[in-house]
Amino acid sequence: MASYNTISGLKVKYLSADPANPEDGQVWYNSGTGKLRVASVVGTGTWASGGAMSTARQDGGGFGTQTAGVVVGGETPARTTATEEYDGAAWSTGGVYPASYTSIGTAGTLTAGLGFGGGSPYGNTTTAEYDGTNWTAGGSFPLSYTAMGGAGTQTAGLSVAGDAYPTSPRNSNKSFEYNGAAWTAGGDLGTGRYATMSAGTQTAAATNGGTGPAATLTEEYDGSSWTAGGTGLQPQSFGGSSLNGTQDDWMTYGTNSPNYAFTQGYNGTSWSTRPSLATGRYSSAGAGTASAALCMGGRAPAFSTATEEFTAPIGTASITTS
Amino acid sequence: MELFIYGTATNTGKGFFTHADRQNFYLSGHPADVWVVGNNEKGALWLAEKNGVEKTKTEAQALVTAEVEAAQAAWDLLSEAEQSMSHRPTQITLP
Repeated sequence: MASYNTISGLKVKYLSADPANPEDGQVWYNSGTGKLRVASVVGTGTWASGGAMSTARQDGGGFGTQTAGVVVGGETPARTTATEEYDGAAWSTGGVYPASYTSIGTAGTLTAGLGFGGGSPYGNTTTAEYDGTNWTAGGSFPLSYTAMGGAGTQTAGLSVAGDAYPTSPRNSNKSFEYNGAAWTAGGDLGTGRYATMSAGTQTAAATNGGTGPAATLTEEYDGSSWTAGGTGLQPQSFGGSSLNGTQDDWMTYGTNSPNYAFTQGYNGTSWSTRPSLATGRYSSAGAGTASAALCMGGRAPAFSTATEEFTAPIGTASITTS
Repeated sequence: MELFIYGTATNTGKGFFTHADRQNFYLSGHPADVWVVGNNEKGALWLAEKNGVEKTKTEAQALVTAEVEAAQAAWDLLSEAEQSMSHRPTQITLP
């Protein structure tokens, strides 16, 4: 049986009282009550307004968390090098990206972020690493791509599919894995696509939607091969996802779809409708998890500075053996 | 009684609408700062507190349509390569 340490990478904390803001899935021992405690989502959640970005943009690259989020690049409508950082209330200026690209692939956290590829308007081989202040060059991406999906971390990143134009076929089915220094080929997706939405880790990722025949298709990755997942509820591409969610718990939103406000969540098997964005938009950037997500910018159809925060209510309970 | 109130208001960012607002009344934002709000006491109070300007549904729809059409016209001027990397805005019909 897998241990909590193995699953979460953390030890169970010994606390005198329940933490003030526990995260979904967090486990701790409450020495005051002598109970093993767990936090989990207890409701459907809603989207609420967040702070407005300084620069309205579409197709920015998003990563990080709801309270430490990042958006980089995109079109304003001119392509931009601008990075902005979010602290859960307001945006501030971040480091300058090496070049003005849109639809940059992204992964990681605010202090250990990863950007790869991107359009100007065609793809390129740039990889850049972010430390919360500056972007520095990483290992060159193997092909000139833009509009890839991203997952994982700065030292264990995953690039999913992408736009290979002018190389044919344009809808790439390639994935690539990054180790913090160099990219190596991963498994091939069953269906090529670009502008797909993704989440998870290098060894447990999922992607949904994208251009062409992939618009509703989900695929799941185990670190070596891609397999078919549940069919999405609407055709969609060019949008945001809770990038730092897990393969079996993440959302997509703010996409080019029949309903711009549409949000859907994946449980590892099937998709279900989640509460809609207040302001529908497409080409948004996403970050966070399925219980604490960010939707950043996009087109509505004007270039948008709007941020929305999705928060699912977290409850706590004692773990019993019965 | 009408289901919705229509109006314009400028999104000021954090706190403009809250999780509680989303639970208390229908709320959707649209192009041209148009907001559609559930027609109940809390919805009406929200629009008033945001210095919203109430519109008829026809007036609100006209504002939305004009902004979408302007965005469509701008998209139509892009090169074929750039069009393939983005999305032509589609018309929006208010509820």
